[in-house]
Amino acid sequence: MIDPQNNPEMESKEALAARLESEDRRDGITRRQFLQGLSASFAGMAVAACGKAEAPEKIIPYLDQPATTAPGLSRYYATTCGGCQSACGALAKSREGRPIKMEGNPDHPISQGGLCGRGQATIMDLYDSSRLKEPLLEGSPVSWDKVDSEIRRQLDSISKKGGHVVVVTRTISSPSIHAAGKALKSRYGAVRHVVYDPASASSILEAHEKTHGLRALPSYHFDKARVLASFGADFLGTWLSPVEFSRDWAAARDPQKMRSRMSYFVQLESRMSPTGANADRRVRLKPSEEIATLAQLGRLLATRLGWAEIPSRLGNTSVPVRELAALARKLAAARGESLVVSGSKSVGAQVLVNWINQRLGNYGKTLDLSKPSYQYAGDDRAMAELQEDLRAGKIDALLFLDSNPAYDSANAAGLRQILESDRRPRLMVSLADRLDETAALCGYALPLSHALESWGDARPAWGVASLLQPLLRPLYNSRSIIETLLAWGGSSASAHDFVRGVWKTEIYPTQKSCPATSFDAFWNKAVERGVVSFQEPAAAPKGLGFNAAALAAVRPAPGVAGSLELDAFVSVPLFDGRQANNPWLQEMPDPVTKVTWGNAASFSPADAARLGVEEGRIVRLSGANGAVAELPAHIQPGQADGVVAAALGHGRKAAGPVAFNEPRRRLFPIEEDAILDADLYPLRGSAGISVQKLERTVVLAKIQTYDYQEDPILGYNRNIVHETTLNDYLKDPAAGNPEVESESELWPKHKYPGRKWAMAIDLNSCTGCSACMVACRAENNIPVVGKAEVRKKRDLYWIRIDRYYSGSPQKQEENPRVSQEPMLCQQCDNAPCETVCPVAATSHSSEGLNMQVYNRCVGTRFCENNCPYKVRRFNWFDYEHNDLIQNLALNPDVTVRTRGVMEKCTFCVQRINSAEITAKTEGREVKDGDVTSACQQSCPTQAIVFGDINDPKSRIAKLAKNPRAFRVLAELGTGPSVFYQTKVRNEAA
Amino acid sequence: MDQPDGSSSPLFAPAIVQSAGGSGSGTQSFKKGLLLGFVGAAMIAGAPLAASAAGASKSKARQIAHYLKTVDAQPPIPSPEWPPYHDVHMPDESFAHINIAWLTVVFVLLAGVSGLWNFGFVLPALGTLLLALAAAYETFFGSRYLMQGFSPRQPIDYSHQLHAGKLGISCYYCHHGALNSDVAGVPSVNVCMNCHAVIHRTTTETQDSPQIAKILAAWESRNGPHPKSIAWNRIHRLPNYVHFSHRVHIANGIRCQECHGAIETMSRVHQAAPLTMGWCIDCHRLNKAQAPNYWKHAGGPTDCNHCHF
Repeated sequence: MIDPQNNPEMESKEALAARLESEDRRDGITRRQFLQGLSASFAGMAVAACGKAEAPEKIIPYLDQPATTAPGLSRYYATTCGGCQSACGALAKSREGRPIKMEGNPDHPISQGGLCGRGQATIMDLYDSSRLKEPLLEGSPVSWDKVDSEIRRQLDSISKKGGHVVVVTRTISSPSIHAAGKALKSRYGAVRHVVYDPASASSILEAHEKTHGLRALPSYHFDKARVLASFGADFLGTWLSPVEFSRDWAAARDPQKMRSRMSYFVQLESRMSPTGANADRRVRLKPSEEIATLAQLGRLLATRLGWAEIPSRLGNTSVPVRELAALARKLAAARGESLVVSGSKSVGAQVLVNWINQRLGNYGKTLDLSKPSYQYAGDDRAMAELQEDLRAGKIDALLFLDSNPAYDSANAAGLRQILESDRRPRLMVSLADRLDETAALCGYALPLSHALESWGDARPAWGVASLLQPLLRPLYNSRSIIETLLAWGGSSASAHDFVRGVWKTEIYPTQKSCPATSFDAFWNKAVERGVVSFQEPAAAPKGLGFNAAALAAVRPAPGVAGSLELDAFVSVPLFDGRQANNPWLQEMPDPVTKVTWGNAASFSPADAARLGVEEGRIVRLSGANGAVAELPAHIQPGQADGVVAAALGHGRKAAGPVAFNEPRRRLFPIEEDAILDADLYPLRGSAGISVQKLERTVVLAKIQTYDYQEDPILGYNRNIVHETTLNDYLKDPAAGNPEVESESELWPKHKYPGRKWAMAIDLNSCTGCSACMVACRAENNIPVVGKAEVRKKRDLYWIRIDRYYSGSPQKQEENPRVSQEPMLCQQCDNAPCETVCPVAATSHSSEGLNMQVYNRCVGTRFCENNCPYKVRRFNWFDYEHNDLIQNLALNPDVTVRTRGVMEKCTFCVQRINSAEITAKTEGREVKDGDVTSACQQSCPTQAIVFGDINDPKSRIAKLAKNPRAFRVLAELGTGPSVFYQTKVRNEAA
Repeated sequence: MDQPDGSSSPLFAPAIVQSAGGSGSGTQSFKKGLLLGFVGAAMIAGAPLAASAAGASKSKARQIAHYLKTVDAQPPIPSPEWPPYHDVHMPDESFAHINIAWLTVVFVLLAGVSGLWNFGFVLPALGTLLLALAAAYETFFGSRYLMQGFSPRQPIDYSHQLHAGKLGISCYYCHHGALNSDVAGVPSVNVCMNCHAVIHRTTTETQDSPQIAKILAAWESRNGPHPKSIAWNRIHRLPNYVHFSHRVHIANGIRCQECHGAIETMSRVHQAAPLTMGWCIDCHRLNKAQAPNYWKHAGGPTDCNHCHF
């Protein structure tokens, strides 16, 4: 027997008890206390379970209610979208003081009523708890007063010594920020302003400097282009000003109005972009062959039209001469009504594009340099020079204002290295919305206010001034750029007074928007409308000369090292990655690949077969510069062979938990591929890359996994999207719409004595941009389900865009035709879902709506099974927001559904009811146009029309009778209420 | 927006409304109320409401005193024929302990069941089980669950009988949201202060009322470090998944009392109607000929998605 007294290894009973006690106490309570608490909470639960022991709900009214607001009322404020520098007009919807939705501003000349998905998702950026909440000095909180006095003192001492101060921003078109910057310059002497853009248009600006002697970005008029050739410019998705271009492009694509003048659109590109998916003719082209192809096209045009200069052959192109000759013929026939654009980063390619446009007589017609756009002014060379100067230790102060070059500039790794080294400037300040890659390197990390929290303005285009107004006080201790510059410039003016002052001196004297008699009246009008037009001096003389010498200086593209070329693009959902922590955008699918939640490397089917890569296989991409990215493969029909395409903006580690798909709540469970390093920015500098196949595979989180209209089992074409060609359409407006014999109807017909709601969707206008998906999510409180759930096909989109590939079997792989079709609840007259519901939770309304009553639903999912359109969605869980603060963005007019309930598109019944009630209170009938569904409101091309089909004068009634109208799967006899307009392609049959 | 004088908006003017004997329709008396409100607003245009602005307040105090005198002189407003459920009264403000009591009964009875069953008394056990089921039904589905008659004590002993009944102030003066919003709303403190900036006691009281002092205290806190409004207890609460719009019912000429009972007779408000779906739909389904004559505007949409969305 061992005696514990004599054995030092043994604990005495008392010591053991003491140790257990102390271990118990490590988290503050003993086991006994814990058990006591447990039983007490059981008792509490028992009491709470009866549901009535809680105190009554409280109603706490305002102390002093503002006259402009009342509980239950939605207010709309005109402002400018802060999502990117395109500066589209927005109407922000506010409810009880909380902004809850962004919509398009129909008065705005840039966006013309549309708003893209990213713009609408800025609401989630506002309610993001990963935002920087207070000023930090070397990581510890500090007051703004201290920040200001310290930065002013340091800048003063630097300017006294003649040091160099550099301000780094993305493109800023705001007159007020420029005015505040001038004040800063006048106080501190030489302050250099370096402008860069992650999705840079620097090559276009530089090419115009060479060819036209003016460093400017022309304004483009896609509505005036009858023949349109785009070399990799994704102008319907991300290029320059996509909302504006989509609207203009769609205007030229209306076969009914344009007749034979409907635009002919050729896209030559390497990856399958959303823009290429809408092209009449799509040609696969490697990025390295772009200059050679443009030169070849130019040579064909020059010989055909007898132009003075003929460029030399600048390398070989794999595009057949036949193809280019046909394009040249079309362009030559449409001089002054054609447009050639290129998304290339190569100045040479842009010089060739300018030359072709110049000689075709397009300047002043389809693109205009005398009325330029200010949306992109970034200069890649200036950023490179800044790096040189930093390396030489010449810079004393570096101020980053709403910019993150340590992540998204060219050679960001090099910049990071310098900023971490001893040669870094003494004063480094970052004003950013979060502690991002750049702010983490700076001594001062200062919180930036959201666009909905600040006064400001923008001048997106010649003669257009757009105003930003705050909808709420900053949620955190943050400041806008204007406020910060004013504080450092030593001004005590408020941002509102300052912006007002700038508008008084710069905009008001030449404004053309309202016959205002005084500045006060003008200002009130400007705040109400959100945008004004004013007379700017012309940017360039009318007959701007063309410098032919620039053409001779174009050199062939350098050869590409490595096995494949890289096309690192900015994607529609994430753009350049600045909104990477936004759950709505992470779950928004790419319009073509349909991948959500993360990056994928796209390969052409031939390349994938050659490399032995299958869908979901992890591949390692290694660049010539030594950078590496690991991401799953995706096989993309229509992609050019020899090219691997992947999106920028993914794989951010400093943006927040959503960007990195890090588990936070149950919503985002641990992912096996969460650790993937899918950031493409480091690789962007290397044109050629090598691909290495790794052992692991993952399942891509796609929301569409079958891409064809053919029945997968029976093989026949179900003709879900009706299509025709322009020639056929001109002969017969009903072309492509065969008469449908619907099966005999089993049920007696419903009667719709009053209104009957219906929707029309023009497939010729729909670009698949997916803005409607975000609009619907914002309006209807649709939860984000996370990557794992999307993989299980449990996404909750009420409206989705179905993308189909078609063509011959070989063409389906190589270069398929693409059709985009928005799919939502068709509100069938004889709805198959209604007849199978055992509890009558879904039934038919007297206004033709297929109603879903959540509190009646018991979740059998019979309806989902019986729906031929597959638009019903089931709540597998109670989906919480990953941030509880994001609950502030919920729409109080729509129920937040609970677990176990079916849901689906309601045709925005809350908006219908609200419009009906408003008409009732005003003592009138509902007018056509009173009700706009959320998807319709924000559609950049206005492809969606909604209204009462029983009113013969309504737009929807006319569209439903249009010979182009068809209904999906009408042969089933479901009687859908959604009328699609046949897609008309401008191509030979 | 700060409204120190409250002169610009009719919402902030003392809309002193004499109800026309309660016989006029709701809309008419509302219009009259608005008109009088505008007149009142014009009369005190520019008059600061804050209690400190003594000069102007004096004339306002005179107006109100004169008004109170005329009200006192008038006979009480006869109550029209209101729905029969208005006399449902729950004497106690607390509803929680009642249910706990009922639950206790259920638990005790269920304990009895198991005890009796254990000792082989099958029939008595079944009988007790029946009792327990009845108690459970009463607890969860009985009328008390519907909260009909629910009448909690409020933080201020506010009397609708005095304000709406005796003084005849229009319902919309305080609950103006009912006109233009789905939510009728509880008046913000500045609305109370329109009158109570000068009225600190009733005519029968000899010193300032402690109840009105609570309003003044809340109002005074508005610019302080800890603004604290009045937390009223919610009485009328529809179940989840239901959307109700006040403004459309008002626009259709439904009077407040048809759902809220004879509110102008309640010194403490209770929930008069059961507020169940069956009760709503009864009115929506009936046409005017079928409806009892206190439902002046019966009939309404019966599609599910007019309320459930």
